[in-house]
Parts: sequence; structure tokens; C-alpha cells
Amino acid sequence: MRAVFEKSIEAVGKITCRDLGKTGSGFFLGSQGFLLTNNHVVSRMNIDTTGAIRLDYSNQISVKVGERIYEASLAMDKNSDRPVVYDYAVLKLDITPKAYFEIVDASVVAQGDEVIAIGYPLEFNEPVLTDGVISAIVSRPSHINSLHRIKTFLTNTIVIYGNSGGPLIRKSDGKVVGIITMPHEMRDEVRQRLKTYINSRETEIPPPIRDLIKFVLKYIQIGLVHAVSIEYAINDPIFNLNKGGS
Amino acid sequence: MPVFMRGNYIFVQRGQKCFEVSSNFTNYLELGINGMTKYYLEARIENNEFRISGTLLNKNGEVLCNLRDNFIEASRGCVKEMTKNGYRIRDANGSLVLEIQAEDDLICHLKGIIYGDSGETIAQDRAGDFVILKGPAIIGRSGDAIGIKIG
Repeated sequence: MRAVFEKSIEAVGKITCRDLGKTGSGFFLGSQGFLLTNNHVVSRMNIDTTGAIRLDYSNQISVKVGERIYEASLAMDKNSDRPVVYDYAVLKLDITPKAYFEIVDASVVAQGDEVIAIGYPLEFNEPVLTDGVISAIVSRPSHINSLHRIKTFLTNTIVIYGNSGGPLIRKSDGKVVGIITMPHEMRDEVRQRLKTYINSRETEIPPPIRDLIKFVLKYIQIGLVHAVSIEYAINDPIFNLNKGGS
Repeated sequence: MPVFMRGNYIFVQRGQKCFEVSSNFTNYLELGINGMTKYYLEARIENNEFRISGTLLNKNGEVLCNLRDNFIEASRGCVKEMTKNGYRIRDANGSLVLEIQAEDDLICHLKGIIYGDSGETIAQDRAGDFVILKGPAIIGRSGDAIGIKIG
């Protein structure tokens, strides 16, 4: 695992969208400076009165790789809905990365495969590694548009806010399996119940207990984590256009 | 004398994913003939997904856009608006061309007007129903078996 981590450390970056006030993780694919992350890391979604989804993409994206910080721009078609549906975004940095990931053949990934996640959760400025297994492989409706289904790897690997967009890596060969995307819906349910509880009994709950619940709400992972299969992102036209160079 | 068929389940059963077409429920809809009519619309269910493909025209019979599995492949100024459970395609003037909305991830509703090669109306939504006015059309398909063939 240490060898995979050392090889990967220069291939994973911390993304900051200064205008949106968002942070996340991303990772290099190929030698041309393309960095993959989640769409929701670099955009803000609004739903208008007609129910239409409107996206505002960040115009101020920086990526910390190793000790250096680089400016990045969106490389995929901002008018395409495919990246939105499958929750990926491709950024371009004007550098030749020291390291980048190779892609696993998603069809051979199996339940029980050992995996690691590398990312920049919370306020960490250093990459954080956690490990686990592929707990399940499911096809679920897209969390953005339920008309489409997404092949998703569920994993018990611990990830928190800021891990979004980071790679889920197969331990055996160091290849990327998926993009860490979001916690399982179970966490939302637990969070909602806890929120309802503390809101309805605000005055009855002793302050230390209230603080503890708020801490749990913010930091503790409950249930599994979704990683969207890498196959959607690598089919983006930007990679087809640049085939042969990476 | 017209004959109305309502509430039928064509190659689907209650509780299965389906399209609502002319007050019936079906697993498949085809308007026009691919490669023979300029317009074409195919609505099918594959891998548990509602998938719409085809070529949509305006009322002058001009191509507005090509759809493949819900994604626009080529268009003349059309814009796709996503919603949580579907999408709308609007022309360059903002008028609705086609709307797809899945109800409870189970019943897929279509809205809009499908124009034919000469600008005639092939199908359109009326009072919440998507009505086929002109063939050729196929409602329901299972392998080589066809449910209802129009025209």
C-alpha cells in the first residue's frame, strides 16, 4: 500500500474553487495535465421555478499538487449535460504531471477487491489515504438526473467532505476504479433524523451532547460511500480528441 | 369510425417501467421509420433506463436536433434543460420541442409536438396524454413481436 501511495501522491491534487467557496480532490489522467474530479466540486447547482437544473461553473479554480499551486480551467464542454449526469469534470493544468493514474478495466473489478482512497478531506493540506474494499457494485439512478443510471462502486473506505473527486484505487495494481462522489443515502437519513431531533429539543439537550451531535453531523461517516465508475469520464470527447498523447 | 384503446399494458405489466402513450402503457414507441422518414423518434427501455433517440423537426420540416439515448448529438440551436427526473429540449426561440419526465422512476411521460417531413403533426401532448395522430408508428415491442402497428 505504501508503494501505491508514494506513486500516487503527485497524481492527486487539492482543488479550490475560490469564487464558489468549495474544495475537493482530483487526480491526473495521462501526461497532458488533465485532472479529473466531480462536477459538483467545480459547480454550483440551482433549480429554477420550472424545475430546470442550472449550473454555475467556477471561474477561479486552483489545484495544489505536492507543494505547488496551479491555476486550472475547465476542459470539457460546459454546455454538455453528460458530465453533469455522470458527475465528472475535466480540468486542464498547464503542467506535465510527475505522476498520473492508469485506468482499470471496469468490467474486471469485483466485489471484495481491496481499494484505497486518496484525497484532501476537510482542512487537510496533505493527501490522506484510507482503505477498504469494494462492498458492492450497483447500478443506481444518477443523483443529478434519475433518467440515467450510473454504475457505482460502494465501498467502506472512509471519506469525508473534501474527498469528493478523488480517486478510488485498486490496491493490487494502483489503477483507478472510480471517482469518490458522495456518501450513501443512509447518511442523509441519519443526518436528517439527528437534525430533526436537536432542532425539536434544542433547549432540552445539554450543550455538550448538542455539540457532540453537531460534530457527528459534520464529520462522522455513516454507511458506505459511492464512487462513480471511471468509465463515463474517460469516454468524454476531450480524451478521445487527445488520444495518443497521453 | 375511430376506435379508442385506453388503459392497456402492451408488453409491460403493472409496476414495470413503461411509457404512457395515447392512454396506454408500453415498453416501446417508434414514430416514423429510421432512415426512411426524415423525422424519427424511438423511446425504449434498456438497462432499466428510459432512452429516447431520433431526429426532431420543426413545423417547416427542418431538422432541429438529433438525439441519441437522451443526449443531443447535433442541433440547430436547441437547448436541453435537465430536470431531476427528465429533460426538456427547447428550440432556439425557447419553445418546447420535446419533454421527457419520469414519474416515480416508473412511468415516462412525453410532451411536445413531433412534426413530420412536411410539417404535419405526427404526435403531440393533449390534456396530459401523448397522442399519436399519424403513422407509421409502433407501440410496444418484444424481440420481433410488435404490439400495435399504425400506418
